[in-house]
Amino acid sequence: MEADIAALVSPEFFDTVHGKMDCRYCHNGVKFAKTRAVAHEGMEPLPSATYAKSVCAPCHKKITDTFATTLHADTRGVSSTTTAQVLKRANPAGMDAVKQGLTKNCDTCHVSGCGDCHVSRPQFNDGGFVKGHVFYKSPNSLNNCMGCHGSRIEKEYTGKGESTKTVLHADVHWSPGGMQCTECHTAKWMHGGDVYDARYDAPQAPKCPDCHKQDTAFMAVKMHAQHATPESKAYLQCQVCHAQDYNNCTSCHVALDKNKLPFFETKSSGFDFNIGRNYDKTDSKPWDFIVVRHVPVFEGTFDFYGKNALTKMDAEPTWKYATPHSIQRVTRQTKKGCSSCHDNRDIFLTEDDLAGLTSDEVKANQPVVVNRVPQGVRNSEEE
Amino acid sequence: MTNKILLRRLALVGLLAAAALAAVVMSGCSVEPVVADEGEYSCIQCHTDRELLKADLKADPQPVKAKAVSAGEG
Repeated sequence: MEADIAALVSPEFFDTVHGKMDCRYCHNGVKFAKTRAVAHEGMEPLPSATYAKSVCAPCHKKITDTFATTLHADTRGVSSTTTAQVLKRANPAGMDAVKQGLTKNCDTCHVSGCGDCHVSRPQFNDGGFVKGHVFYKSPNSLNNCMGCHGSRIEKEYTGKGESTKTVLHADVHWSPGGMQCTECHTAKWMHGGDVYDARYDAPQAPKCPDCHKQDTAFMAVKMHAQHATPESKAYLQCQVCHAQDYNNCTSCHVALDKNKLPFFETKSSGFDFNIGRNYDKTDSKPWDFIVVRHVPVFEGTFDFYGKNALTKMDAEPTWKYATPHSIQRVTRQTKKGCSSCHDNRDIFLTEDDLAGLTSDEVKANQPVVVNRVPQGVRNSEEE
Repeated sequence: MTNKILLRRLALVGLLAAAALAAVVMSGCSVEPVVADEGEYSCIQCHTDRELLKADLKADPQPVKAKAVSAGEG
C-alpha cells in the first residue's frame, strides 16, 4: 500500500466520535509544524498497543482489560517459553535454543494493538488505514483477519488453494454465503477473558452445531444418521465429509538474517486431505475420525540457535487435528456416496503418508494413522 | 491600617491571578498557538490532503522498514 494512502484520513472520519477528538489525544505529536519530523516529535503511531493502559481504555475498559489474555495478544500456545506446544518436543539440553527461537521468531507474530483489527491493516503487513482512519466495529475478513491468516485460512476460505487431486472452490460460507470471520469468531471470544493456551481449548470456539442444529431434518440425511451421532459406529467430525483439500506444511526452520531480523522457511506446502484417527478425544472433540493437517515443525526447526534442540519428536503427532475453512456440501468424500471413503486409501492417513519421516515422527503419528481403511460397502447400503 | 488591609487584599488577588495563570500555562492553553504560522501545517491539513502527503513523501521518503524475507508458508 502506498504510504500516502496508508496515512490519508478521510473527511468522513471527522463525523465520527473518534474524529471529534484532538489527534494528539491519542497520538501526541505537535499541533503545528513546518516539517514532518517536527510534527511527529513524540508522536505515538500505535496508541492502542498497551491495551489496558492505552488511550482506548477509558472508553472501552471492558475490552482492553481482557484483551491481553487472548491468543491474538501474545500467541502463547505457539511462542511462550513456558507454555508453547513445541516445548513438549524439546531436548532439555537444547532448551535454550528452543527458547531463543520462540522469543526471536515465533513471538514476533501477534497483533500490535486494537487498531490492527479496527482501523488499519495489521502492522505485521505494514498497516495502512482501511477506511481512512474511520474505526469499524467488526474487523474486515480480507483486510484484517486474512492480513495475517493467509497461508491456510485465506487460501482455503476464499478458494485460492490448488490441489492436484480435485478442483477446489471457496468455502460455502464465504461464497456464496458471504460470511465474515467475525460471524463465527465472535467479538466476545476475540476480546478475551478466558485463559487457555491453544485455540481449540477455547470454550467459546465455534462449533458447526451452533448453526446446523442436529434436528430431524439433519438426521433425515442418511450419512448424518450413520456418521454424525455419538452412537455412530464411526463418529465423524463434520469436516471429514465436508472439508475440501487444505494446506499442509513441512519442515519450517526459523533464523535471523544478517541484520538480525527474524525469518522462517518452510520446505514445502501443498493442498491435500487426510482423515486420521482421533488421537485426543475430549468432550469438545468426541469423534472417532478427524481431519488431520501436517504441521511444519521438524527436528531441525531451531537448528539456527543450536543443534539437537528438538529431540523428542515422538512426543506429539505432527499430523494434527484440523478445522479447515474449506467447507462444501459436496466434496470428494461425499460425491460418490459410501465408496468415496470406503476402500479409498488416498483420503486416509496411512503408513504410506509417513514415508520419509524420521522414526520418531513415525512413532508420534501412530495414534493418528488409520491402519485399516474402512472396507467397501454393498451397493444396497450405499443407496 | 487601611493600607495593610489593602496590601493584603492586593496580595491575595495577585496570588489568585498567579495560580490561575499557572493552571492555564500547565494546561498548555497559553503556550499553544491557535493559528498556524506561515508555512506550518496541522495534522489534519496534511493527513487529509493526498497531494500534500505525496509531495512530502517524495521530498522526504520514509525510511524503508527493515524486514527479513521469509520463504514458503507458515
